[in-house]
Amino acid sequence: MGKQIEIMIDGQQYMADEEQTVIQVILEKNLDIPHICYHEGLGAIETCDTCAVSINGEIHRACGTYVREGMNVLTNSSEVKEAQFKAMDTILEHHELYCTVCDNNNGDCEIHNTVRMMGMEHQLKPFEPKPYETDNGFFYRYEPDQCILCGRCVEVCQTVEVNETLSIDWELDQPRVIWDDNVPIDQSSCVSCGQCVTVCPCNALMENTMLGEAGYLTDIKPGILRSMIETTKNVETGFGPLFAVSDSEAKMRQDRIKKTKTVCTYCGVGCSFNVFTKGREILKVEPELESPANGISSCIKGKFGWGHINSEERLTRPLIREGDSFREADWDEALTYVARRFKEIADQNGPDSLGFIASSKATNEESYLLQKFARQVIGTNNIDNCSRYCQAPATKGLFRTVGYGGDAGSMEDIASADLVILVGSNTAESHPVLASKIKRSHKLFGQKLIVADLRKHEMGQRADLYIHPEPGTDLVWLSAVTKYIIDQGWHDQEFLETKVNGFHEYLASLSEFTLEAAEEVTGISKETMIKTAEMIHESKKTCICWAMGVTQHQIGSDTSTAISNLLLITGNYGKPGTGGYPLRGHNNVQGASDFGSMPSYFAGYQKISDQEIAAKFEEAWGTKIPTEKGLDNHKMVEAIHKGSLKAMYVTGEDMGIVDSHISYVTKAFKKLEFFVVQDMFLTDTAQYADVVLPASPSLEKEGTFTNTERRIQRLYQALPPLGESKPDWEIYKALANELGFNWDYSSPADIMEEAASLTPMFAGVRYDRLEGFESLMWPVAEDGRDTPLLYTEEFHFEDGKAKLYPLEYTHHYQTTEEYDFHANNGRILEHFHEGNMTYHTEGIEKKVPNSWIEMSKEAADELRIEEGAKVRLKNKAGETTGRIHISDEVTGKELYLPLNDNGKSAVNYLTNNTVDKDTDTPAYKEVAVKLEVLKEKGDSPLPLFNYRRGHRNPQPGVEVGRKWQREDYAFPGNEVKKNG
Amino acid sequence: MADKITSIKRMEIPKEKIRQDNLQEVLDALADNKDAMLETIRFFSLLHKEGNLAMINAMVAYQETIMGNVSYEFNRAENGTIIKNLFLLLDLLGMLNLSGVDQLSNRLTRQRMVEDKTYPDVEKVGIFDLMKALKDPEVNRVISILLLSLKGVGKNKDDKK
Repeated sequence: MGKQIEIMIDGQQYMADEEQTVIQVILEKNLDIPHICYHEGLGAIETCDTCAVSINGEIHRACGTYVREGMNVLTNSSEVKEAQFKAMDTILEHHELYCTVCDNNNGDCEIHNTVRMMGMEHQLKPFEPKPYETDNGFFYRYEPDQCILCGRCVEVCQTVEVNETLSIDWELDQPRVIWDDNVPIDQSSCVSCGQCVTVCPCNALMENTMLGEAGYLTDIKPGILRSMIETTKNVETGFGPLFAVSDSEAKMRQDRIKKTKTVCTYCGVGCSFNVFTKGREILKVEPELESPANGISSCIKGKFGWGHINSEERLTRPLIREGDSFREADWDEALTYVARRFKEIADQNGPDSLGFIASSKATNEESYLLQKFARQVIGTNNIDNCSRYCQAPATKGLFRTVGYGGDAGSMEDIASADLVILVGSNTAESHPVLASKIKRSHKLFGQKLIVADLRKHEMGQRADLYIHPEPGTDLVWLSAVTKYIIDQGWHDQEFLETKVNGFHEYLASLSEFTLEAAEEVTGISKETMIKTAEMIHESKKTCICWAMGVTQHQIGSDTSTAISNLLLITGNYGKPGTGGYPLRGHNNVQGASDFGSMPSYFAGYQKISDQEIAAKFEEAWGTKIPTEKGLDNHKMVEAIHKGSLKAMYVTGEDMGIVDSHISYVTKAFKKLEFFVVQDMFLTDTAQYADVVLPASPSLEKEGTFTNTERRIQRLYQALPPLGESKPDWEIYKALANELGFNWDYSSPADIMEEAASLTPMFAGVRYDRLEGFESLMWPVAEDGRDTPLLYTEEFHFEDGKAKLYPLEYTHHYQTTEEYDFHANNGRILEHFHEGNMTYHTEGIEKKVPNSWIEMSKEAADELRIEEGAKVRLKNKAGETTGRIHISDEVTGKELYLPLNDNGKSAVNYLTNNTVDKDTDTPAYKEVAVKLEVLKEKGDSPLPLFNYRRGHRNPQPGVEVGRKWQREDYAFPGNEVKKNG
Repeated sequence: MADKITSIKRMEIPKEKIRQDNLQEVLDALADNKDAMLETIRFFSLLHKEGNLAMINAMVAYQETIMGNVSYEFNRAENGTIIKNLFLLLDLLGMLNLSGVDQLSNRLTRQRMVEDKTYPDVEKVGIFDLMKALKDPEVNRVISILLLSLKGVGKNKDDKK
């Protein structure tokens, strides 16, 4: 916020902030001004010249001029009008107005609206086609003839997404947008985030799903369409009649195109969008400026990955196992059967012989209902969710040190930090929209970046300092850096004295973590650790983000604790731009735990062992609830093998693929007396079930998701459930009622009301406070005040002070002589997790049809194999085969196996039963294998049109200066003056 | 012991049942919109009576061909010009203040009638009379405006001042 100053606009006096541009003030005061390239989310681009205004007698672009005291702005003088008309003439030279037969004629075409607003009736320069073909990508197409070269797409790609693929080649005879160094879209480094399409002001960039679908007259054969365009142009006497027709047609479209706000179903960033549907067809997904987590950003999955919704493989009726096949049944039969079997098993073996798994894909309300079902209807605490596979250790580390199991702040804090440290997180692929915020701050605003990871992935390549630790040794270097900081006297003494307990005990525990010792264990040089400490010391605000590379180890909780300790020592909590951020992997993995699907907590992390709390729930639910901790995910599988767990109800979780040591897990499934799976598809897990209940995905229901920032957001129903599938909450309700309970929720809002009334953390969470794009970040006080930044006043412990938690390094995972390769594994950008949703989107399936095994050049040379070689990886847990992709992101004998495979390449044939000692999270990242070459070379597993083969073309932005230098360019404002 | 299975026996719903359900849905919709449906039936029966329904059906069936033909005709230069001129004429008609002219002529007629006058005899206007008339400030102003307009219309981008 800058100084307030006075300016005159069209003879009226206004107050403005001196950090604002003229156009910002004009728009803020709701005054009219034409503009096309200017976009609130992108700032001034200065390519279109339509926002020309007179400033103290001279014509300037309103978007590129900052306000100054006493400035006199005219938006309506004849010179101004003439300059604006001239600018628009140049635009229309590059863009043919055939609005009525254009798929972008939906009331929001910015060229159309600007021409109409200007009252322009004719163009003086006729339309000139460009000598370029249309580029049809898998997800979107570029039509050079319609492109006005406003450069918004370039700006968003270079400075918001920061994938650095698009640019404008201003020096071409006919400038155009190019991908990389001018290759087709699908051969470029484009990651298909779709943001260029979102910000395009016209129809030059459009989603393929819109083409021929949005308009009433757009699905016409190209030849006839061309004739109709010509006709329109021939007979038009001005834009007035043309617009009257096209505006009416645009309005008519609203009769059949529905726009619904939803929240993404993939990762934990929690992007929200408007989804445009026509019947069951999804026309497009459009992020909005007011989307709180993502703004105008999206990734390939959120923008284009919705093929699962209308997939022919969706289950549309309940299935009941009969002999060696499933039989479709109606709901009455399936529910009666499930209820009867649950009751029989509970009666015979006790309620603890049943186990329940909630879904991190489902809503908060559904998590709340399933744990209520387990506790109230069945009477067991055997309820868990997939955070056990990933995030439980991070939560543990935060519980130990600061008190709340969630991100300390919002993504805004990460974006505004001086220094961001990423540990064990391939953010650019696993949390792409968050990665973009970091990349933007790093590229434009001088933010520093340290990346500690086995792979030098995109974030590692961009980092100011890249650290490669030996697998599983992060705790050691983090502790050594912390010790070095204290040894240098760089710790935040005042913060520690006033806000933190246990400093001296903790300091004593650090004695073993000398730089020398750490260098030996981690393989990181002393200098690198010192450099890290210096960078933390030099920055006023540091954020640390971590993910599965930290948590999925036998010491995952301890390493998470070490991160939080480091932040406490340096005072990096409770201030904007600081804090610890365990990046949640699924859309609602945070909410699934928050709303009570955990073996030892009710909603809001209220302990089941606390008598007062238990009594509150018992009174509300009218039943006795057991106070002993239930079984977690991992222990449920063990209990099946032991014979004590007889029945399981797994919802929205493909445990048979995503759990570690899947041969052990699937053997357990076979032993179950009764197994119910609730899913959209007949997943690997569902194939073992006795009953499969067809559930509805996010677009077919209402509810809320909680993203990694603790942000609760509403999703609205865009489509009716497919076939006879049902939203999970309706299934739980029907089952509970079948078992004699009287659940009378009429909508998820009722469920949230009950959960909020029993959970202080969500006291003020109400649907009317979450309308549209509104959101709340927990804890939420009863009056609706939420908490974007935690710990500003105190930490979440009784005395309000944080705790330093002493640690030892107890375990050192290493490869052995026999199992000499380390098989690291994780996600890739295009597919979500194992891919059982994303493989249903045709474009994604084409770009990444299968998984692969990444290997370093040096290891390949040693084995004398080449790209496409076929290998077998083996260890005591099992074996898997796959094809090699040689990559410089991995080094030495460290391999990388993407998760997106449920066939023979599934990495979980190799993972075993070792778990984090504190939370039972499988140690997915501790996999040593031996490698057997089956074929020395072959076809690359990576298709030619995968972005990993492209070559980025970094630019500062659209580089409008190069346009201005062209001989054929003249600023309309100067021309007006000249002519005047 | 439950092995992994993938085959699904689909629920077979008899065709008759599907037909019955569909029919019921249509009947419900008809019943719920009785008045509108009766009006619609009357509308179609009128069209049918005049023999128009068959033509409309055929036009819908071949709409793409028809649109193609119409566009083709429209795009022929002479036809395009006719249509464009038609629109231009419409524009022009819209711009003319005919009611003003009408009023003016009415007033003039009325004035003449009131004053019981006819048009005076007009003498031949020679070249000197014309030049004299040009000096009349009112006539001069009109001529100047006309000349300026012509200059503006004929102005070329590259013309130097």
